[in-house]
Amino acid sequence: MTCWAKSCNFITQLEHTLEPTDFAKQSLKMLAPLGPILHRAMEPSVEEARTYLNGRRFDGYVFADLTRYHTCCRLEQSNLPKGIAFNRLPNNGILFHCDGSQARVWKADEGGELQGPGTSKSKQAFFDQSNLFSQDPRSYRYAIVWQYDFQTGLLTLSLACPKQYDEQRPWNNVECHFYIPFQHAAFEVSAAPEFSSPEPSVDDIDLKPRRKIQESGDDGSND
Amino acid sequence: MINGDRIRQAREIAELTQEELGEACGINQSHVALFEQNLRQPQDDTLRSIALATGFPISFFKREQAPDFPLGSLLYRKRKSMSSQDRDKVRQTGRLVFEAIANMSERFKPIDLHLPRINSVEPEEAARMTRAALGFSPDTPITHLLTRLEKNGVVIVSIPYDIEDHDAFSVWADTEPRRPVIVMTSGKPGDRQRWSASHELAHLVMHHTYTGSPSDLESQADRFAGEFLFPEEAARKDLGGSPITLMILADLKSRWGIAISALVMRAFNLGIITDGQRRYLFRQLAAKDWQRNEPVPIPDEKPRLLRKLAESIYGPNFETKDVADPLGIPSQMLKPIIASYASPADLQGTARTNPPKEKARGGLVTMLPRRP
Repeated sequence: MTCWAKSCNFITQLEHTLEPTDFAKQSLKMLAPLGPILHRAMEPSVEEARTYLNGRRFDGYVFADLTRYHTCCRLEQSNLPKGIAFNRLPNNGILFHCDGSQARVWKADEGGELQGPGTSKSKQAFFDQSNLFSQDPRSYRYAIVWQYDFQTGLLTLSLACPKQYDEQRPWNNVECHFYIPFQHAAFEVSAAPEFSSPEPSVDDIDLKPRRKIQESGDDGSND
Repeated sequence: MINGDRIRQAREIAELTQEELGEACGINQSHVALFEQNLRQPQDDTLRSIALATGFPISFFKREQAPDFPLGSLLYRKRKSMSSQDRDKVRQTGRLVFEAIANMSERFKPIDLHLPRINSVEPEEAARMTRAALGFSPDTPITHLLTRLEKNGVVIVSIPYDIEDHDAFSVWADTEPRRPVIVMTSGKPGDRQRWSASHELAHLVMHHTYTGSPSDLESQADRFAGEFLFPEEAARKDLGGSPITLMILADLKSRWGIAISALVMRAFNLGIITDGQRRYLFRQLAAKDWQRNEPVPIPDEKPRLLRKLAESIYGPNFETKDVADPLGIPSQMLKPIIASYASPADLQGTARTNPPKEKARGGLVTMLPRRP
């Protein structure tokens, strides 16, 4: 199969299947380390933003901005793993460099989709990936879309690969190659090793045979 | 002489009613009742039928009375959701395994019992006193809980039945000296197993005289378990400060070996979170289906004593029948019971981890429709 045919096949696959494509899986695998980093930084940040607005007139923009602000502060203080870099952009924007790829973090719209770039030239440039045919996930730019449900208190993160935005209606949602949810980072946490490894202080039960009654004159009980 | 109590024990382990056993043996239910009360002795052919129906050898029915094994905490834990047949099976199997342990233990000096019996103090204080009496540090996670309890004289009876909604019960067995016994069913995650053992420990320490309603006793046992596994001082340090989130709870579960839902309740009981926050966190757990499928699996533990006794008496390569035959227990019944106890290899750290029952969610690609 030629490179061109491969690329066409790849795009067809992306557009017609509902199962995770290899490309989507590879992208998620590549950016998987960002899941725990963001869950750890965003969950308390969402709570802080929520607490701030509790009893005040709710404003979705303030909520999102406060969440981003607290998240940025936490990310700046955290020790990120090697190969991952965080940049704080204007207006508390969040940009990661991970394994040679870029990922921006944006709040989803009410339908859980990536919001359109509007008139922002930098966003428009970021979202325009309609002419890319590479099968290398590192060639793409990604969006991590976060969504918060005020009813359940759940924060969900999804990885999206933007394809193109609507130039005529730039506020409309961005068309994406795929959306794929990050598994909650709690599933990455393992039990402390002490629970499974032997502990020197917990050696085997020490059983001492009873002495014979005839020899000792008692039953040997140490009660 | 046939011991009617053994007929009843075998019947209840085999999950047969008197009527069903009578039918299997071609006799009336009333005859079975008379045999069990030692008011009548079965004929030889009837006894053979009883042995066949229950799976126990005839020698079992000739054994003397087993040590008295009261219902203990079975009287008040999860009674509504447990059938009487399940309850009888669990109790009689526990009694049988305890008898095996008690019989083999006669060859050894009794293990010193360090479990206190405490009256008239709050459950949290009782938990702190118990930690101290057992030689545990006051503010660190307790690992290898079952082995530590066994080394302190508590008999852990493991039975390989996975009965939903029933994890454990406890009794003070009527032996000389009296022994605290915790009977645990299998198939439960490590965190749940640790909570159940601590909960039963509370009954053994605090509830040797049954006063109060079952729900009060259960509530006290849960408060004891919370303090025993996650002492207040440590809990305030670990749960205070930043907002309590699912990630924080997952980290704490990893360190303390307590279920996330139990951690939420602990935070609430200590007044660290309000009732609204408790409900808010439980809504998150429900939305993620974590109440059934929690992340951070904690390795389950196996007790050791039964197997250690058998190794000490019959050698490290003992066979099941070595233990089963003197007690008249069918080998095939005892085999899974022995397997539920830790071998020397298990003690070396080859602990098992209960995988989550369902695979974690995630990974489904959603292709959104094109915009016009």
